[in-house]
Amino acid sequence: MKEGSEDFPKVLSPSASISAPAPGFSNTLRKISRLARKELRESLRDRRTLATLIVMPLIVYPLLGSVVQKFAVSRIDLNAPAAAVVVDQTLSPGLQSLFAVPDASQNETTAQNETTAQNATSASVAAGNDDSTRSGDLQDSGKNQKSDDSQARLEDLTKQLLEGKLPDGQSSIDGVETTIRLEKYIQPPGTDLESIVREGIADVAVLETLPHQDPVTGVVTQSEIRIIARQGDAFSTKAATEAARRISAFRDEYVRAVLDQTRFGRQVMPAISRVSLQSTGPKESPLSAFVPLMLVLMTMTGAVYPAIDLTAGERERGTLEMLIAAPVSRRNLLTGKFIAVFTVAVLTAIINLTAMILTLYGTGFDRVILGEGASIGMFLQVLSLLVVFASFFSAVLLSITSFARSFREAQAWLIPLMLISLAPGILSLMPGVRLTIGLALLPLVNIVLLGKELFQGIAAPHLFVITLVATLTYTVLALRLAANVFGSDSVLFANNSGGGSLSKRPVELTDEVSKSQGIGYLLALLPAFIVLAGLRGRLVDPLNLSGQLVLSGLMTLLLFTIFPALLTTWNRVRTTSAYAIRSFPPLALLGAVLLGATLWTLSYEALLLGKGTAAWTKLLSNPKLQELAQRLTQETPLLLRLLTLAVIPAICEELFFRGFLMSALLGRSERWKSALFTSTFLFAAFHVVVDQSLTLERFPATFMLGFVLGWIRLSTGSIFPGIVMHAVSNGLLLSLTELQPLLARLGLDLAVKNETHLPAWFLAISTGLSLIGAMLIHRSSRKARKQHHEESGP
Amino acid sequence: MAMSDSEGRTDAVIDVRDLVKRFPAAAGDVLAVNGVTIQVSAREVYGLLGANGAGKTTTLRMMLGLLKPTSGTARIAGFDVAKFPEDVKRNMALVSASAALYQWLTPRELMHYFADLYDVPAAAAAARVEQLADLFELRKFMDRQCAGMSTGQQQRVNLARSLMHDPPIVLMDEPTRGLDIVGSKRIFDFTSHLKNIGKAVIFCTHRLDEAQRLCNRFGLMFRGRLQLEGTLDELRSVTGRESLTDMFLDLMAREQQIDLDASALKVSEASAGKR
Repeated sequence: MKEGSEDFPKVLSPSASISAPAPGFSNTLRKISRLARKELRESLRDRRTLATLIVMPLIVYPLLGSVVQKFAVSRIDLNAPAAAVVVDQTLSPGLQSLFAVPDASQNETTAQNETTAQNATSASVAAGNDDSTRSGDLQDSGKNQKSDDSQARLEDLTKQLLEGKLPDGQSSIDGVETTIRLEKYIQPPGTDLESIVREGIADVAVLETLPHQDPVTGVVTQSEIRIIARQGDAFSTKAATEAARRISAFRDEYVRAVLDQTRFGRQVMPAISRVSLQSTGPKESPLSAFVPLMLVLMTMTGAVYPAIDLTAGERERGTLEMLIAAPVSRRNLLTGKFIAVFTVAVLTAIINLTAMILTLYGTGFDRVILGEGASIGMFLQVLSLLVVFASFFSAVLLSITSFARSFREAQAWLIPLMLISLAPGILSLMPGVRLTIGLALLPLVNIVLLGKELFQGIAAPHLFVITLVATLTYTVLALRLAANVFGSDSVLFANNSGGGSLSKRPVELTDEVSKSQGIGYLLALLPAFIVLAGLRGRLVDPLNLSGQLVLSGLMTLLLFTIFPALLTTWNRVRTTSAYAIRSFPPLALLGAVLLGATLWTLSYEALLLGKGTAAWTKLLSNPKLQELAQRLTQETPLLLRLLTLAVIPAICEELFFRGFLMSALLGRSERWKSALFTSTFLFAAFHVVVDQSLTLERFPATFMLGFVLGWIRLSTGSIFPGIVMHAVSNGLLLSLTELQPLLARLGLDLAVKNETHLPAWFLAISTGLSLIGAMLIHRSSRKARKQHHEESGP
Repeated sequence: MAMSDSEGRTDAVIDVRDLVKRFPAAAGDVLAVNGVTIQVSAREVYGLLGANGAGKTTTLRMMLGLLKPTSGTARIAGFDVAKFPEDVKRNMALVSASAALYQWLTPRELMHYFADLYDVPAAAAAARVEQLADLFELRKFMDRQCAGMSTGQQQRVNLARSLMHDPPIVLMDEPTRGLDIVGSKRIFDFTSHLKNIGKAVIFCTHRLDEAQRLCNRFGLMFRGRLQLEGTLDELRSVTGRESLTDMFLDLMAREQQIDLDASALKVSEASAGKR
């Protein structure tokens, strides 16, 4: 800078800004692309991004490929360790001959195991070059007189078995079924066969008991060959299986030889042969689910760093302020960032997919994992899937990292997200899990499963579409959330001391449940629910429905009232404001009763309408749930049902969803719309996951109920009318069976399975009453607002 | 509070009235800005002075529309901040010591980027980058990444990029923080230059001695309130003190006395303002 003010050249004009506003959509697009380009340039210059983008896949896949290859090869490696079979010295020599004799060299190192001098001579058998030193054993056995022919057959069989061939002539090296080498050791005198196996000195013991007659009873016990293995030890179990296979093959051959001596001949004993056919169904290899999971995880890793860097990182470094000081809307800023993160994620996906397919091709695994082998079409399909996933995950990442004030905090937030993401991924690893409509709606699971099926070439087109649409919907939702968070003052300029620490109890009373309290409790709710639901099944016999009901009521009370109340009390949130415990106009109560009594007819009709279409029928008819409902009405007293399924849920769920949660969502803002929709969605979603099976059919009805309840709470400003409506609605549905005679007199038949529509006159009346109820609430709401305004006014 | 002046200024390009900002916090609300009214005209450097945490930065952020005021209005270059946030931003530059540069970009890229964000036409932007590079002597490192620059260099680049759109109003938030004597002097000289060519400048600092030499008018902020306002002469006649530092010390002593006298409620409110 030049010295002295008169030296400044005429760079700056007196007043007018040269920033020319150019409104319009094309300008918005131009600006977003400008923002995205800069974010990308910045990200790509960062070595850390490049590391995850290029270096990781280039190293990980070849490395994994070679490891898997090595592992797969070692399964048929003859040099793999042999299992030690310990036998009693008295075991029939024919059986003894079924197991190879260890190498002399090995013999020296394993002092525990003794080999007899006789077997030491045939040590070379173990290596595979059998020089038929076995014949002596069989001759010595002398249990039966055998023809030379059958003896030769036995020798042949033994030889085959020792070479690791299956008795029917199949080679063992044909893929899945691999044999294990078995080496024989003689039981040292004074030891116990079982303890030798138990202590792990040998892997398997073979014990023979000869037939004998009980001198007292005269009962003849059958001879038995017992194979002893160690429980839970895969190698020992495998060795025992192999030993059993050899012994039964040997026994079969022996029986045939005996049959030859009779008039039946060996022909009466059927031979067992096995034919393996190429399956026309999905070819399931554990790798075929692992590979898409791997791709998904790598795509996630690629997006994580830029997502943190462009939000929390930018805030931490202090560059965000100059960015938001520019005339760009925060939504556009976030869109630019999203495009950048998304691009990096897609680049990661492309590089990973390419590296992976090349690795698969190079190691020859492509035929194992890919149904039809690698093709351009499949590559593009999987890529499109990954692109959609990348957009979804980028949006989710941004919505989370936008909360964070620093890089470190963002990382702390993301670790649980990654862990949560891993769980559905692992679920889809389970063999036989196929994509269904329900699963196609579950984020992440749908991508991994669809990826697996695309690889196998068995993906259904409509599920492909559903998965893509669902994922894109979640993307938009996550982006909206991110834009809301990113733009909020409290996140942009939060002082770091305010970050709700657990140990620090606030000194002063506050009116609202804070966002972090709300989110924190929601996160804790699901695991708590699962644990408590499990406990419920443990504490009381699941067949005791009354007991179950009582525990359910207690659970609702704990989760939705007592725990939140403890949280808010600890944080000194004013109870009356947090749970909207306020007075309400009496007419609103009448409106709530009317709505509670009539609204169900609409959801009932909606359910029936939905049932008309074939796709929904499958989804909606849940026989398990219907059966449970029937049993409940038969086996439990009505009063108990009303208390535990209507009154308690009405009070507790209202206090939680429309009180606690609504307060956290609203905060001090006037954004009632998003609070209403979010709380309603969570309410409906909770009722879907409440059972072990996802009961999707409950979603529309509970969403409608939740929406109306949320609206009542916001309109009247009080929790009570909602509680009344909720209780009336639940109670009416529960006592339907008891009301059946009354309804029948009115000519109503109300069983969903009968699928009869309600009569028009009834529908008309109930809809009319619903409208009156809504009107009453709407009217009283204006009054309530006015009153509230006067109270809180200056 | 000196309100006398506020109604009379019709030529003010910065016109904020009764700004209040209340931050919600777990331990009760924080009243960061409590009824601040400021008017600044072109060819004026207004010194917004006060200790750290007095509410200066929050006031600036509300002027720019970065923070939504709890109550009060702000008009910048005739635009209402609440209604036309983008027009307001177009007419303002924010030079902040707390702002950092993008480490992986070069000053040239950075300046072009901001030119685009402010819709500066490409040709004008290219010319301007060259001019500003000369003005702030950035030539030597125009194409080097910002990561390796000294504080002084970064501050100059920051100034250059914030002036890419040549706005009529410049907000300077502690622009000399972390700079050495030479660097500070450059900023002062440049601020005078901005005033001379007709810009309206708000200069925020807690260093009262340097402000005294630079600014035409002053506003002393303390605990979210604008306690004293006027030209140096006006302030001297009101307070009977010669230097801004002495005035400020008096102010603090007076506030502390009020604190002692006030009721429990008053104490909690004042302490909230202090935070």
